[in-house]
Amino acid sequence: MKNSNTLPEAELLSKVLNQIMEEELAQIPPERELKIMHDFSEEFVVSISQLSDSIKKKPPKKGLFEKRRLSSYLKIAAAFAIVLNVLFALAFIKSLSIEKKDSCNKTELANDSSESACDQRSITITADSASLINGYLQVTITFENVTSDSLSIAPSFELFGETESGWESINYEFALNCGEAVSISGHQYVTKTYYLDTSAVYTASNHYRLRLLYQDQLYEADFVAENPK
Amino acid sequence: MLLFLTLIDLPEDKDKFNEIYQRYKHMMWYVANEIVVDPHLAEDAVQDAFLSLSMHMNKVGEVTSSQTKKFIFTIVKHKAIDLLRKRTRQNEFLGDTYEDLSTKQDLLSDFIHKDNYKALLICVKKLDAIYRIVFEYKYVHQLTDKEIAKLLNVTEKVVNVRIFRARKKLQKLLEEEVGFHEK
Repeated sequence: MKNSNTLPEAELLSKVLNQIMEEELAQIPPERELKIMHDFSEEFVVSISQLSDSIKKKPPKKGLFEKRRLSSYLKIAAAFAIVLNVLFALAFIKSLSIEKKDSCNKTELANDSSESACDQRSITITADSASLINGYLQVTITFENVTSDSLSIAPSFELFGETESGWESINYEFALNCGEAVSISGHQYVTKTYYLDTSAVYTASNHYRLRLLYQDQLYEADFVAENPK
Repeated sequence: MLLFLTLIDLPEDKDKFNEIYQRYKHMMWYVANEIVVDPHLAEDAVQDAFLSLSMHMNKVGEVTSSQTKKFIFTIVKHKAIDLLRKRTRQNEFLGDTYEDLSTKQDLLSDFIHKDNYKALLICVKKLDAIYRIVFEYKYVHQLTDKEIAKLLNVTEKVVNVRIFRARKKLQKLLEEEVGFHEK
């Protein structure tokens, strides 16, 4: 039932919203007044600085030689060489990972599905104390064997819920700071509780899967959330 | 398919991000604090807003432009409302449960025309903040439902539901407003 009103409708709504936003923005005090209203905490400044650092820096400007256009033949040759290099690199990485896997299997007796690393020095991640309160999943994630300082812990994670059709993504977040590292019996731990909105996906079994990306490595942990009485 | 969060890595984005931080951080804090009325929580909202921004730098144009200022304004409002909602432990403001989104119920187009501009202005101002934010993302910042879903950390279905409800709410307000003036 779309008609010619559709376009003017969007335009009018846009115009109205823009006008309201401009009115609201005009009510914000000038910058010099805002500056004296609030001093940002050190934690905030550090977090933003970290976030900024995670964005790659601008590369230096190209020189004259680089600016020159390569001939089409050279381009094809370069592309071919790159593809070959990538293939060699992939093959090399694959062979390395197979070797590593073999050595892990030999030394590990028990294999916990939620623990991804076999190396003693690498971290392990577990999701526990999960409970579902008013559609929000309260889950405590523990990072074990964390050796660097706590501020460098900045994992991103994606939550999945088990539905009839399989695992369905619920949401993803990026944590700027997990918390303080605590040392217990020689191990470094960081434990942090997250509240995640699960309203987007209905899971009859309360079965969830958390995937964390931490220091370029993917970790996975399955767990069941309890409904507190 | 797993679509994991990845940080932006376009070369100019770092400079742009830093410029936005320097230019708008105080304004962002003020906007957030007006909503949450808690200086520390407002700081958290600003932090969340910067995180979102860092992932959507491709949506940011000229840093000094009014469009960018408005985009940042919308994001920080949305993050402040989100934090407030989480803090008060209220569930989704309306549940966001899926419902019949048939266009039969959507008569908003009938009420939106130039003659009703003033009424529309009044009614949009009356809209709940969370509805306004979805409208701002859609009609001011021209984001797709998919992009809005990514920003709001919800599924596209939830975005559809919110837009649908926002339209219904606006329609109801307009019915009341226009009817009131006609009497």
